[in-house]
Amino acid sequence: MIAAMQVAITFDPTVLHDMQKYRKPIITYIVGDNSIKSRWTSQIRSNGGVVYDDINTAVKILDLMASYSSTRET
Amino acid sequence: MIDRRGNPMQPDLSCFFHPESIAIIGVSRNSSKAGYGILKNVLWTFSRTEQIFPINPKAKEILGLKVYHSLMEVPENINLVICFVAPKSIPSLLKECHQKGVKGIIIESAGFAEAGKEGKAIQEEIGKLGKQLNIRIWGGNCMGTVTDELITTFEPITADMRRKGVVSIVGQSGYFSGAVILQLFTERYTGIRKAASIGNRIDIDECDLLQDFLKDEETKVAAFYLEGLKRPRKFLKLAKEFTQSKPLICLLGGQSEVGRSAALSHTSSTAHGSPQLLSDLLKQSKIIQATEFGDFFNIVEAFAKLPLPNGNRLAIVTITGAGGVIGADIAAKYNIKIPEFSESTTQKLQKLFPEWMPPKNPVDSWSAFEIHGLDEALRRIIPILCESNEIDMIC
Repeated sequence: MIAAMQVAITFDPTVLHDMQKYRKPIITYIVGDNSIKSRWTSQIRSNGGVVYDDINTAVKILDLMASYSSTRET
Repeated sequence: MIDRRGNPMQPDLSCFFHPESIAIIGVSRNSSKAGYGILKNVLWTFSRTEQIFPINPKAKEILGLKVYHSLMEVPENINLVICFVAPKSIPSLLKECHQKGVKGIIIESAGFAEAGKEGKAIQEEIGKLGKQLNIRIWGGNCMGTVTDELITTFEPITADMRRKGVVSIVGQSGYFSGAVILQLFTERYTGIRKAASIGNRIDIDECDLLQDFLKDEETKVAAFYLEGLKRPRKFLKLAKEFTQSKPLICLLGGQSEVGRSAALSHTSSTAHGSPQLLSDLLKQSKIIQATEFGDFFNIVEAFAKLPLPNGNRLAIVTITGAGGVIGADIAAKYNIKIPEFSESTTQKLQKLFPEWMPPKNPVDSWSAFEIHGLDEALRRIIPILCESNEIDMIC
């Protein structure tokens, strides 16, 4: 979880792009200031990342991926 | 589909996705009309400009192309016809198509079974004629196709929106050849391999498309919006095969009484039977079911962009302790484990944290962010987790 706060945090969303080489699914969820959130969301997505508004969606989607992955292997 | 000799027809959709020549019937000089939009998109995307033949009985030239007054006036055989004309004129058009060697026709105009008895009768006549003449029929009441080499929809799509991807989409709604793909192009940066709006499914249906996607190596994920299964047994059998190698996501419309009634007037689709029974059958075929449009986008985006996890062990990296607590609570509702880190991993992480803050899963990283900055802390924490072999995914 990343908090989008004008004062407290500077964050380069492309940092997550570098983590794609580890071949593990990484989902980001951002809370906080809407305008910053919107900018970071767009930057993360355009760099091949996945970002949602809430952790419930993030965990649910990871569960779907893990479930699909396990059934495919059997 | 069965051909006129009674043999099952192979779902060869190459004339729709890779045609050699295209005639567009019902082109318009008016830039606000669908007939203009189709020609504009085809002209922009189809590499063989000299093999595009616009048809309009009153026009001479549109968008710099010579316009023919009828299909029969075109001097050569045609591979694909796209038409946006009144339904009642289509049966006679099909006979002309047969004479011109047409393999497939995309009917984008509406007014068929979804519009009432008369439209239904025309739709049935077109279906029969297509079988007799061995012409595959796409639609009607649809918005055609979008691929990286050909756009046959009338929806305006611009160069900056177009993005090649691994997702192939089928929608029984124009929305899925228009707004949905724009959303995937511009907001989710997912891109599209093939998008197909199949409308009333006079001939080409979801089974034909799923079979095509199964063979298509560049399709890595398939996503369907359907208001009814035309051939349920066939679809579920194909889906079982498909999901062995690629994920298939479905959003089904018409799950309630009012929804079913709306589907009937939208694409003349009839009920799937019991929603619960259908849902169970989809589950058996390992189809991932979305509940609504937002959920559909979220699932499609994740499967298109992310590698599949090897297991269900999750590391939560958060800027606040509360985020970790809530994340762990939610994970407990699903089949997700939040494993404890080994001593070795803990020691590696500890180097990034102050002594008074021993790192655990969920990783409350605020103190590490304060010391190293957010970017640097993430750059160092995530690799430790990924290389540990103790987790399969991170959020």
